[in-house]
Amino acid sequence: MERRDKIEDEVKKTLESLDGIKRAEANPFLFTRIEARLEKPENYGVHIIRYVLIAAVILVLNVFSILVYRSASVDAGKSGQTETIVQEFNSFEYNTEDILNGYN
Amino acid sequence: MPDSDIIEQIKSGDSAAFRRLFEEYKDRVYNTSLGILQNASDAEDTVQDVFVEIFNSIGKFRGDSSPGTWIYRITLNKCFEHIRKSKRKKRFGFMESIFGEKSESLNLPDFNHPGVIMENKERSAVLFRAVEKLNDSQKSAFVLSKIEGLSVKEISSIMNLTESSVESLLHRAKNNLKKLLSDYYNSGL
Repeated sequence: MERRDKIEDEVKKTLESLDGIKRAEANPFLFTRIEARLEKPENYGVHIIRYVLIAAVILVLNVFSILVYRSASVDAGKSGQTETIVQEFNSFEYNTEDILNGYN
Repeated sequence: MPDSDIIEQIKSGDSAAFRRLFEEYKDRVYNTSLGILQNASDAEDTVQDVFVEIFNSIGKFRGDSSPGTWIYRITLNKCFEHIRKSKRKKRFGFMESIFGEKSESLNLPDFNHPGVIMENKERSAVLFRAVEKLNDSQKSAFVLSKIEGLSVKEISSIMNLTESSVESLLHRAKNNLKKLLSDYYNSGL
């Protein structure tokens, strides 16, 4: 009980610790810094770098897509060639059988 | 001279008027930022951000609210923007460490507000640690009320809420702080 009263008293005193607080004063030289910021173009360089980076990323993505597309069409061409060879081989087999049948 | 006249002068390109507005509001902006960010250097950065924003968007200010309300709103927005940026920085902290950049901590462990009287410094540091754990709207209402000393009516127009909503926010903030402080003293005493 005594402990709880003590805690309540501490909380009350702490909540009252801001009573009579005075307003903090700002550094008067801040105005010079504000003037300097208003005079220079706001983050102009940063904006340019940002746009250049975005353009570079888009360019890299485009180049990558083209490379992927090209390699995919080359692969498709290769598999097409294989299919033709297999078909030709099969037709050769049939021809051989026909020839053999013809002899029999 | 009323603030609305200063705003009109700034709109017409009077740089001396902008300086007057800075002198008029710099401490309010700094004190609010300091209460929310609990770091003097971050609060100074926010003061700069706020006045740069004021200068750049003064043409859009239509006078629907008072210039003071508008400036406090910008201040709160910039503070929470700063917190979000710092959290994002922390999240990618490992990337920064790879590239050799130093990651800055969002808050110092023990913050001492310069306006707190000497005998309350230690207790207020504990309180600020608890305030840090409140959500954005409760923190805003608490800081504007307890540290900036604004009325419920003023806070309601800054936060665009009804007065009863602000009262409820302050009540919940106080209850949460009580809970956090009870836990703190319970583990320490």
